[in-house]
Amino acid sequence: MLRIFYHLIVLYLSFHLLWHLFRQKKPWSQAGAALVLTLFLLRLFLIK
Amino acid sequence: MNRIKAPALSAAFFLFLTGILCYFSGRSFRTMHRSETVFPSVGLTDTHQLSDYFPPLKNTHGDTEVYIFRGMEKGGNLLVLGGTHPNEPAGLMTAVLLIENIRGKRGNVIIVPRANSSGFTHSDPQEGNPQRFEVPTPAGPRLFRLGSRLTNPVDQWPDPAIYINPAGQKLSGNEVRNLNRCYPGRANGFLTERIAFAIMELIRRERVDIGIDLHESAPEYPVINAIVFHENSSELAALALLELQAEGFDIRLEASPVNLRGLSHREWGDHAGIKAILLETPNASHGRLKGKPSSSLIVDGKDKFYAKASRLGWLFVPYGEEGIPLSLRVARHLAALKALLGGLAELEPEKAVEFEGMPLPSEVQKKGVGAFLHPPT
Amino acid sequence: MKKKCMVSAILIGFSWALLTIPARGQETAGIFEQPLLITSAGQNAEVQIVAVLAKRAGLNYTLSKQATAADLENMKTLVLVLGASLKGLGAAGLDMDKERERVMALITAAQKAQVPLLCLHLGGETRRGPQTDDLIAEVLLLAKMVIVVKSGNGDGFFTKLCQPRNIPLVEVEKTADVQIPLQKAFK
Ligand SMILES: [Zn+2]
Repeated sequence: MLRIFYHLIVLYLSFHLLWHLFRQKKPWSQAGAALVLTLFLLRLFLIK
Repeated sequence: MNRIKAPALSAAFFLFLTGILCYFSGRSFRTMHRSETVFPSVGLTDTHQLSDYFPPLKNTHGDTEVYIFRGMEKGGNLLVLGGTHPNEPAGLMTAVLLIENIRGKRGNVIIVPRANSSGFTHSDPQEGNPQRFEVPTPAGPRLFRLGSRLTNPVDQWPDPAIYINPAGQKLSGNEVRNLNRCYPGRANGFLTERIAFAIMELIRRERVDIGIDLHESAPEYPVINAIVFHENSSELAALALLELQAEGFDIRLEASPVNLRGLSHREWGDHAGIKAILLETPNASHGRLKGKPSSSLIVDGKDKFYAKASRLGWLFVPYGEEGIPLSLRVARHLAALKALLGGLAELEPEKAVEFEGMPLPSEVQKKGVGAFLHPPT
Repeated sequence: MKKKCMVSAILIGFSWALLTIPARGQETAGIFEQPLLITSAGQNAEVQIVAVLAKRAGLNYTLSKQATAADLENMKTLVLVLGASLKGLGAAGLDMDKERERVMALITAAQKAQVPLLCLHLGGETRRGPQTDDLIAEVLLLAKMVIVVKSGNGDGFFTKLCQPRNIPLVEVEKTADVQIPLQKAFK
C-alpha cells in the first residue's frame, strides 16, 4: 500500500519534470531538467 | 516542419539522452541483484534455499543459497556462514573456496556463502566503494560483489529511532538491518530478523553442532585477528588457538560478552545450544583510515595510510607496507576452521567433522585464492 | 687421555655452573603443589588456554573465572592469569576497580593460608596497557614464580619487577610453550 503511494508521488513528480523540460527554452535548462528526470525515472522503475 | 519549434526539438533530444542514461545506469544497478555463480565441487550433495527452512522468506531478497556436503561416515554437523556482513569479503571468499573444493567425508558441512543476501545488492553510501572486486585466477579474473554491512533499505525501510532486538537489547536504529544483531530472529519481524530466524531454523533442522560465522574488521578495531567464542566453546577455542599459534598464525581469544545480545556467537549458543564461534581478520578497506577504496585495496590489501598508522602504534594488528592481502585473510579463516575441527575431534570425537579437498592455508597464502577457484565462464 | 678427561671435567663443570646460575634462589621446578586454582586478573580469555595447558600437563586444576577466597579451600597453589580485557570485564559485569578488589582479596586470603602464587601473562603485547600494568605491578610482587610470553615483556616490564625481588621469571616464545615450565613447576 505504502509502496504504491511512494510510486504515485514519484510518478507525479516525473510528469512534472517532463512538462518542465518541454517548457524550457534554453538548452542548458533542458539538460538540467533531463538529468533530474533521470534520477526520478530510475527511482520509479528500479526500486520496487 | 516549422511548426515544431527548436526548443521542443532539443527537449526531445535531451529526453532521448535521459532514456540512454537510464538504460545504462539501470542495467548496471540491476547487476547488483545478480549474485555471482558459484561452481560447487563434485562433492556437493544438496543445494537448498534458506527459504526451504523458513518458507515466508521465499521470493524475498533475504532468500539465499545453502550448500550441503554430506559425508559417508557418521559425525557432527558444521555450519559455515559467509557474508553475514557483505562488506567483509574474506567471509564470502572462504565460503566460496570451500564450496568449490571440498568433498564431505565425515559428518555434514553446511555452507551459506551470502548469509545476508540483501546486503549484497547495494553498496554503503558515501564510501566510494567499488561495486565489485576482482580475484585473479589462472584463467582470468573472477568478479565478486562488495556489498554493505546492512540489509538494503529498499528491502527494509524505514529504520526505527531505537531498535530493540529479539534478544531484548537496545541498539541504535540502523542496527535493525545488521544480521549479526538480529539473532535469534523473529518469524514476523523485519526482513533481517526473518533471515536470522531462518538461520536458527536451519541450525535446528539440520541439527548443527558447531556454527562458524566468518567476519572481517578494520585494523583499528580492538577485536581483530580473533576467535570470539561462546562460553560453551571455550575449551575448543583455546585448543584451536594453540594449534593456530603452532602453525604461525598469531590470533587472540575473546569471550563472547554475556550482556551483548543478538550476535551469532551469543544467541546460537544460548538458543540453539550449539558451539558458536566468530572469526575476525583485518581488512583495510573496511576501516576509517584507508586511502582510496578500490578492488586492489580489498584483494592486495596494501594501504600506505594503514602502514603509517601501524608505525605510529595506532592499530591492533601490525600492518606493513606489504599489506594484508585477501589470500592471507582467507588462509587465516581456513586455518582457524581446520584448527577448530581438530579441537572438536579431540573434545567430542563422535561429533567430529572431516572433509577432503580443502586447500592448505599455506598454499592459499602463497598462490592466492584464485588458484583454487573455478575458472570464470 | 688426561687432556680429554680435563676437557670433559671442565665442560661438565661449566654446564653445572650454567645450570645453577638461574637457581640462585630462583628455583623454577617442583616448587608448587597440586591441586591448583586457576583464575584471571582482568577477566581475560587466556585463562581458558591455561586451563587447557594444565589439562595437557596432567595437573589437577580447577578453573574459576571469578574465584573468591572460598574457592581456595583445599587448594595448594593459586594461578593468576594476568591481563585486563574490557570485553571480559563488561561480560562479567565488573569494572577494573571491582576486579582489583576481588583479586587482592583472593591473594590476601591465599597468603594467609600459605598458598603460593604463580602468575602467568600470555596475551603478549596486545594484553598490556595502563590498566593491566597497574594491576600486574601490584600482583606480581607477591608471586613465587612468573611465566610470560616474550612479546608481552618486550619493554622489560616483567623483568624490572621480578629482578630486584629475586622472583624467578620464565620467558617463552609462544603460548603453547607455557605447558613445559608449567608442568615442571609442579611436584
Ligand atoms: Zn562483520
